[in-house]
Amino acid sequence: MTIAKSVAALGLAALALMPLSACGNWGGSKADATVESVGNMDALVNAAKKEGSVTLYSSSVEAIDSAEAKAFQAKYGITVNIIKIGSGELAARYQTEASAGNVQADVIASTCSDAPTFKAIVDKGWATPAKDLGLPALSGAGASALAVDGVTFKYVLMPVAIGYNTAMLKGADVPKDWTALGDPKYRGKIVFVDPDTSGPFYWTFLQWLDNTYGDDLVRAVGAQQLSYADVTTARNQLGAGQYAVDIPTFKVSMNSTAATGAPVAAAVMPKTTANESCIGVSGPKAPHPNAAKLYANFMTTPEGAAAINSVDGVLSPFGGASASMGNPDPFPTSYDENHLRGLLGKRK
Amino acid sequence: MDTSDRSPADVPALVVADLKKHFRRSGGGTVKAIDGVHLEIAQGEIVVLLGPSGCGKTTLLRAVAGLEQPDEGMIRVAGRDVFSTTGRRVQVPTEHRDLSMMFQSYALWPHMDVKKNVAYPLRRRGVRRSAARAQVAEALRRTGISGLEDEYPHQLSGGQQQRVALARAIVAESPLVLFDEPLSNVDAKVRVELRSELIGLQRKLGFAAMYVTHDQGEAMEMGHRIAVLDQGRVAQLGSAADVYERPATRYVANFVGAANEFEAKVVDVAGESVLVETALGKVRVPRSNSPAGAAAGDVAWVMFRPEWMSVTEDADGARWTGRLERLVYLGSHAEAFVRVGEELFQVWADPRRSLAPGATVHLDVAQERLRLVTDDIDRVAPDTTGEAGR
Amino acid sequence: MIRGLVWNLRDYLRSPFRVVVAAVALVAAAAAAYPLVRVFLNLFVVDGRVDFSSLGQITDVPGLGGILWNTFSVVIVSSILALLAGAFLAWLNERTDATLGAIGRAMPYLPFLVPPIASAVGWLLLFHPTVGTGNAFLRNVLGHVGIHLGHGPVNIASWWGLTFVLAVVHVPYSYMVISAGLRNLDGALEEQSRVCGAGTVKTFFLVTLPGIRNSVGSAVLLLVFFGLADYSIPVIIGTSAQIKMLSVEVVQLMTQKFPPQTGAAVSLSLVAVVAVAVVWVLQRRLLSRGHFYAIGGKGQSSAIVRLRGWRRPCQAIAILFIIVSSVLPLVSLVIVALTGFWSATPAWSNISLRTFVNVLVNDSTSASSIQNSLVLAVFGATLGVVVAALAIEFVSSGRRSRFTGFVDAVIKAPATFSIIVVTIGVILGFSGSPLYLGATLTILLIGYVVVYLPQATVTIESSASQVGRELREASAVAGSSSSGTYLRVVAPLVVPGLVAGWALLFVRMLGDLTASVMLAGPSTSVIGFRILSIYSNGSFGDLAALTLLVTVIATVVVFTLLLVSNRIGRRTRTATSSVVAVTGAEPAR
Repeated sequence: MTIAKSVAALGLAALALMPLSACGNWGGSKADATVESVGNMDALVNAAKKEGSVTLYSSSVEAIDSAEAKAFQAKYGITVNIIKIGSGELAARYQTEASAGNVQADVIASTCSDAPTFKAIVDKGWATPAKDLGLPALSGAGASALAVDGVTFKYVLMPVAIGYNTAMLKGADVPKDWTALGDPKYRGKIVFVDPDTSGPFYWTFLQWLDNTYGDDLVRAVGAQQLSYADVTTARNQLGAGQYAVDIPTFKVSMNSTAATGAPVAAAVMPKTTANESCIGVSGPKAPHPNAAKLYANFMTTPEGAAAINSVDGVLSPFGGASASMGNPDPFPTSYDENHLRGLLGKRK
Repeated sequence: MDTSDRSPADVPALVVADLKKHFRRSGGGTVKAIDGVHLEIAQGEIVVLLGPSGCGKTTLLRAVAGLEQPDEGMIRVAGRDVFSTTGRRVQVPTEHRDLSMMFQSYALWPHMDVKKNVAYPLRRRGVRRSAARAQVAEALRRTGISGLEDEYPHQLSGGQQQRVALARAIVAESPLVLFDEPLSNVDAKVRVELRSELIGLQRKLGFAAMYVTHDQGEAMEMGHRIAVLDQGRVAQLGSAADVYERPATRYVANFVGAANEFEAKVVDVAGESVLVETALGKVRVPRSNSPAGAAAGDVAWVMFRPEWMSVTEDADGARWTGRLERLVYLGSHAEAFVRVGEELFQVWADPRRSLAPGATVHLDVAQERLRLVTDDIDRVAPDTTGEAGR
Repeated sequence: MIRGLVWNLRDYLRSPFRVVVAAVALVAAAAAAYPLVRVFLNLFVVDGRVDFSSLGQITDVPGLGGILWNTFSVVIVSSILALLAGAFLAWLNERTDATLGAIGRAMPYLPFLVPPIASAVGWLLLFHPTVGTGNAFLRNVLGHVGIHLGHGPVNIASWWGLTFVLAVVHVPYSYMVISAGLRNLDGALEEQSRVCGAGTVKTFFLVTLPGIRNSVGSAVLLLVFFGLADYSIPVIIGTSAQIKMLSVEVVQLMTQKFPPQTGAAVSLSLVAVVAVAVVWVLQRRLLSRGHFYAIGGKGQSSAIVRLRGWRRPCQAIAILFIIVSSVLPLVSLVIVALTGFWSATPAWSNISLRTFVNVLVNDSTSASSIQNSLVLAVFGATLGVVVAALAIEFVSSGRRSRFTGFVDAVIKAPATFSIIVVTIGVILGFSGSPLYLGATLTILLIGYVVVYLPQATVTIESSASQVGRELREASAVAGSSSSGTYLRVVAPLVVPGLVAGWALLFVRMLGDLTASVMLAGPSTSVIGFRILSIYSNGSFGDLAALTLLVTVIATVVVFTLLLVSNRIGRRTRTATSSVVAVTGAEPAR
């Protein structure tokens, strides 16, 4: 009796979960479509619609991709599966899958500074170079959005901002530009994202600061009894009131922390630089090559740009951004770690 | 052996012929667990397999049940070959041998109540639930445990569990019931009780049984015949009296009951007696009590039981004279240990006689009670039933 | 002889049930062996030739010396701490009048109720040097007595913090093993020592300790094995402390590098396997030297030590330790999940269930991870239990032979290697040619089953071993076929073990981190994978909520099923100690 009941219960549980599992990915599937030319827009849209969905691996901020996907979905009725993943892992995973002949991602979005990956996936023939996609917006003046020798293009810029605790800093105490960080009133109150553990972006940002405002400012910031922490901890310490200022940060990420109820905000400086995210589009071996192309194209259109611009704290390189986002300086392509370390007085 | 022309009543419940089973020992070498056994159990007969642990008795029983697989030979249950390596190979799985078995550990299924345990063999053999219920009630009544139908095994005493196991063994009325030391786990008093009940039950139901035990008292009480097993072979097969009075080998003599024995060398075989030379002088043993084909030069043992000898103070006519070493009072008799030369004899004495240790005593035993035995199973005296050496 | 064998085989094939059982057992053995074989082929065979040079790839690992030093220093010290704490608690509970009651009985379940990832995150939230809630509280207290600190006083993000958390999480293992050892040690031995004039302390060191050294040896082996295999604590606390441990490096070599540095990863993880093997050999050596007590079966009495004035303090320390080590991290998780973000001073005004709504509804990745994990855990546990039960049936029902022994050993072999090695094997064996299962739920299911099957096997075995041989034989004699015997006699008796095994597998698979982090893909996210991704760039509120959900689901499932298992077991009188049933998995044999 007991056995029969147990078996029946297990069976029922399994049945109940069946519909759930039906939407899971239990085995690879491939569409065998040809890549259409963007020149023939109607054909591309039809082919993309037939594919029905597009998969995006993104190391970018989730809010940006969600906004873009929502607009794309509304216009074409094509589902976008956004898969959030760290940039290092994204590169490894995409290439591992592709080299096994098992491309999963139709589109990847990662930091433009990961040039080696963008180059590698184009060289191996897994991705189509951006300049060869035939996207109308990337020709002529739009070519400035191309990056890494034209193999990819920028689709979103996140201006670097200063995060602050809204309970501790009010009105005039909120920094107005980067030079304010040298002010002694912030001494001991700044948490700095540790460039030694959090990646080269943070050294590169310091390089921009150094290039723009000179050694003295960096030296002055270094003299503020900086506390170093990783990104998440820094943001939490800011929210907890442990520190008043968290740099460098982005308005879009600070907004998501503020949404949890933490007393934090970010101020975008009038003159600043930006983290740039780029797009890679998989070739014909991808599951949905046409939808991929259509999605990439959508980002360059005014509608796509508007979707990105609708996210507070970021802007599209394809125009239409609000003036408050300014016009960030291009991000430096290299940095001098020893020089910067010396200025900051940061030991290894 | 063709059994088709026999009337059903003549068909033996079990025939085992030339059965062999060898185990490979982990350290190399083989153990002959069953070494060419022949055995026949008639309908309604109980044959007890007796022997110390390791003599192969349980292996033989399990081979009959199909729980062990012999290497070669033949097993026939109620006229049907269930195992055979001669000619077309036959190997009927346990569940199709139509046997019953009572296990040493009771082997009651703990998750079934008593009636389910007992009904199990019936239900597996296709008896309908309603019919089974009546048969179960009858089996429980016979084993004296009516009213325990709904109990679970762990709620029962050892004796009650034993009875449930017995009920389960008899419920299907199989022609052959196997008992694997079924009474070794209950205390002495319950054991005696169960023994006689089991005999009563067997007489009433008339099933044939193969009964394994290492307890000679039990063997003598239970068995119509006893098969004494020695290293995988049947050393002797006979009634309790045969085995006790006329042991076929030195091994049987020592395993069943106490024995006095001393080494002897055959000097001469003449007429109705065999003359042997021993440390205690020349001794004459009746020919019928000596191994077949005994010849001068053979080494054997002179053997007799303690109660066959008497202690006298009268030197006349006494066979041997010795010194009393120890006297043990046992109520019904006293056991005297008497040293004669190098030999120490065990002898029964009148418990009321006052014998002092150290006293010189005279021993006497009638010549016709002396036996000559050897270790050789194939050479036994003609007066043992002799099936063993066949 | 040969004819007999052939005949046996024919006999075997005649029973469809036994054929199914044998087939399942063989498939299970193949599934267990295949990934390991792939690992060794990958490592030792280059272009069809045996070549050991791949082992040299270990030198490609950046900062190898530091990683090995960190790993061994942390694992050795934490094992010693866990051993001492576990032995002390076990001795208190088993041999003194300062018993721990229900808390002592619940102790071995803790690692199954509170996944290590929850402990790791909880401790970090509590004792981060600056933002830790516990630190803020302590600073506040110290402030009242005139000591003002800017950070600390505790720093969990340090070598000591890492060592401490690893030790705390593993105390239940040493407690469990040593308790069992003490229970089995005849108290008369200790009483004899007392009669001979030795005091409590002398008796402990001269008699009790040598008497349980077998258990102590097993405990050390278990602690070192789990210490080296654990990934969650090194990745959460080790990363914050900037202390890189072997398991973290191996996972990074497999997932953050292209092409995956399989050779280096496998060589590095073999270091852990070798270390466990060395401990095992040492343990064997030490134990085989001299005799250890043969243990009587019946009528054991344990000599209870009266602690008199020490009793209450000892009890208090023990119970405080258990509560602090398991409940405190959960409290901090609850606070962070409810207030939505991590802060030294919890924003009590902000309390809501928002984070739970986030991970269950709003955040589609988290929601689908939970769904995937639940589906995988239910299917995986069911599959695992069925396979384990049939494999055990294959090994234990028929006549024991060298072959069944071999099958048994192969099925359990993955337990000897760390989860990391086995998972790499699964990736090598199933993700690429010829099956191309990479980044599918199928490979996760296969991985989970292969990785956790040995644990299920041991759990179910302990309950199957109670079904005596004669119970089966009695059924066969009564006319039942082998399938009938299994269904009517064996299965009902093994049900408590099956239920416990299912609970164990379910919980393990639901909270799995190590296998998931390498096997899951972004499109096949599972809870463990998601927790790590939130940890590296998300909200701690959501992280706490997700971790708590795993804890709650695990707790509910384990308690419900153990209750069911005990109820069935009690009725049939076959209940093993469920503790042993659930936790009896000994990894290295």
